[in-house]
Amino acid sequence: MLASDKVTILTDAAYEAKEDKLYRLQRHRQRIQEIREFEFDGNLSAWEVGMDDRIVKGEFHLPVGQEVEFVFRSRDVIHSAYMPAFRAQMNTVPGVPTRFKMTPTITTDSMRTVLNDPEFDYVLLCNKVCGAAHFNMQMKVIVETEEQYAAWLAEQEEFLVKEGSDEPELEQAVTTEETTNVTASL
Amino acid sequence: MGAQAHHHEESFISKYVFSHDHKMISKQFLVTAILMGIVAVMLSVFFRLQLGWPGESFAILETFLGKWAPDGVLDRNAYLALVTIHGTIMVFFVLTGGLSGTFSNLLIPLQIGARDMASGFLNMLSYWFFFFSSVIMILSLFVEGGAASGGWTVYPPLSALPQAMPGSGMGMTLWLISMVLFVVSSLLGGLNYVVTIINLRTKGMSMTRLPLTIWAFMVTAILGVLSFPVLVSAVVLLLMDRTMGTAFYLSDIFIGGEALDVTGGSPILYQHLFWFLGHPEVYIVLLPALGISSEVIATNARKPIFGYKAMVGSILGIGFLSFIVWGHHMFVTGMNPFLGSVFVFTTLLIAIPSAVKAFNYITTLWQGNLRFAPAMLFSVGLVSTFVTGGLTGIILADSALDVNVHDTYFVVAHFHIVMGMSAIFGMLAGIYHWFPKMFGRMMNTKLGYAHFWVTLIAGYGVFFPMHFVGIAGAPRRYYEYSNFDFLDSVMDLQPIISTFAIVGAIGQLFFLFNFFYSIFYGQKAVQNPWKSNTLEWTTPVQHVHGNWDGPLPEVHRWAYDYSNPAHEDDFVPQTTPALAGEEIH
Repeated sequence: MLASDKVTILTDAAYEAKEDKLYRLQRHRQRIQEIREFEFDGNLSAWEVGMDDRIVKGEFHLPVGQEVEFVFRSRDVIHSAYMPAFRAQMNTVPGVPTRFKMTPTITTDSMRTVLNDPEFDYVLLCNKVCGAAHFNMQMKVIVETEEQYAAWLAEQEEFLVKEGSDEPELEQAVTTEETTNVTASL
Repeated sequence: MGAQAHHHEESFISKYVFSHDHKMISKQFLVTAILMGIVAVMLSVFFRLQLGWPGESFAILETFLGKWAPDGVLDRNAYLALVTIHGTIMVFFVLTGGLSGTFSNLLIPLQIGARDMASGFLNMLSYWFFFFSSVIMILSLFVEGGAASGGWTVYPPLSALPQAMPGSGMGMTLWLISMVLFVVSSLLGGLNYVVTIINLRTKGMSMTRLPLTIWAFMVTAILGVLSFPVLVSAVVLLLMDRTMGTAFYLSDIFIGGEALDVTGGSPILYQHLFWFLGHPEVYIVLLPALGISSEVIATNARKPIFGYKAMVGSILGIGFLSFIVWGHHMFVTGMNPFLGSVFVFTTLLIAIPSAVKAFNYITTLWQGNLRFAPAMLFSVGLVSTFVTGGLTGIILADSALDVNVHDTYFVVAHFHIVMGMSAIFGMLAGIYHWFPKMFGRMMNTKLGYAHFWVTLIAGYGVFFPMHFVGIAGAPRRYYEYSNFDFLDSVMDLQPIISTFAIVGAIGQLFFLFNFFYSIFYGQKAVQNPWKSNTLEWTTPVQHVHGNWDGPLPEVHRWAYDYSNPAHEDDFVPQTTPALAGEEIH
């Protein structure tokens, strides 16, 4: 399936030109394919194109009070996306996309006020042993108002739009990478 | 063995090494399990040092682990290896091989009135497969890359890909080979136990007169025979994925930017296969401990066990239910929530037979004439840990609640209390209770008391605080927790937990000294030191091949005829014929 050329979303010449990033692009293509195949609620418009996907590393943002759907996949071994503050957890399984929905109700800012801790952040951490760096595999989660979220989202680069750009290399050593891709559906 | 006891001179080899005698094989299992237990406890102390005082240097770590603890600080990979091998040894080698192997072997022929196991040769093979499996597991600690490091469940793809981490190399291969041998040992033993119990009961020993130990051993053996083959198939498929390029468990995997040529497999398949054994395994560990406790509690409370038939029924119920609950280990693997709710239902059903057992233990103790031998203390301790750990089991059985604490220290606390401590307490109760039968001498009671109290307090001291650490959201199998500020509030508990772990480990020296000293220098045992009813106490103190010098004993009553007012003594051995007009069970 990975090496198959039957499904082609990227048809332009840039695809051929970027041989060195072949697997990353194939990966992305497959991700879009599989997300499309879920068809949970018929509301596929945000995904059908796939051109507006953003790839973020290290942290991601969520709008408060809106239901968010997480779709997880893994590129290497089983991880588990665990967000203790949200009481939410789901394994990320190579070859088997997993998902759940939740609605964050308290923004990071409110939580900082409540806890009287200006440093507080929600966190997503890995909860399935995945290698020597398992204990340090994490992402920051920021819950914010819809306006803040929209502003943040606008700053993120759309992945496929930037074909010619010099993007950060996604593939790293297996033990240090963050493999959880989060797709927020609004 | 035939109907006649054969007495003939035996060489050292045939008596102590390749023995066919179930009593000797039981001692072999016990000593091997104790040695494996020492290793497993030491491993746990090593990683508890790291968890209690992360990054600090401990000379003892460098002494024992060498390059795995440079400058006395435990290496990250070595940490995972220690956790993995600690779990593997404890679950399989101490609490399965050690507990079932020792007491099924010792007690089945003695308590049902048989001269030996149905097949002494298979029994011998069972031990030697267990032995070589143990040796390979220990050897795997010394190979390049270290021992298996994926946790005792060794989930693929982590365990399937040698390039994924150092511990997935040779150490992992040896782990798998060791498990295959272990399964062979369990199957040979289990088949033998079931056949022996069904076929070789002496005259009058109907199934409803069997001591509850034997019922527990039989159901345990049946669980093992039905579920271990599934583990072996999981393990063999994993071996093929590792060595032959198959992809049963692998699909769509990139390592270091390279796509592997694997597609179509599912890592979740392994989890289903593994837990189809893994959950019955919990009861393979626990049921013998519960059986032993039934016997020890009734004997030392000088009362008939309360609700014998309910006890048998709950053993059978637990045995059946244990096969249809494995999904509760997999609630967060993306399992369909409806399927999850089915597993919630079946899992919660287990609370019923478990509660029946806990209730019956307490009602047996109620107003009994309690005799606090060390074995009795450990059995009462088992009732305590069984209830404490069982309560958190209700939380973990519920998929909606499990999502919050899955794979956190809450789970670690739960299974260490309900399975680890309970089964170890049952095993220790059995050792203190049947030591006179095994070695013809008594263990020191005062050392036994010291051992019990240190073990109980240290055990709760280690595992009770873990509930709070887990509810705060601390994942298990983390090398250290300083990267997460939100855990700072509970991390103060870690040094306390580690201190209790060290105290508990040192406390086991009371037991080790007592055990090995008493084998040679203990007070000589009388034939029936606990004034117990069961048949093993009618055999001579000095072991004879064939167990009874004369003809096999005939059984006239059930095993729990304690404090029967029709009789002069407060115990009535099973061989005592019915008095005139007496109604017997």
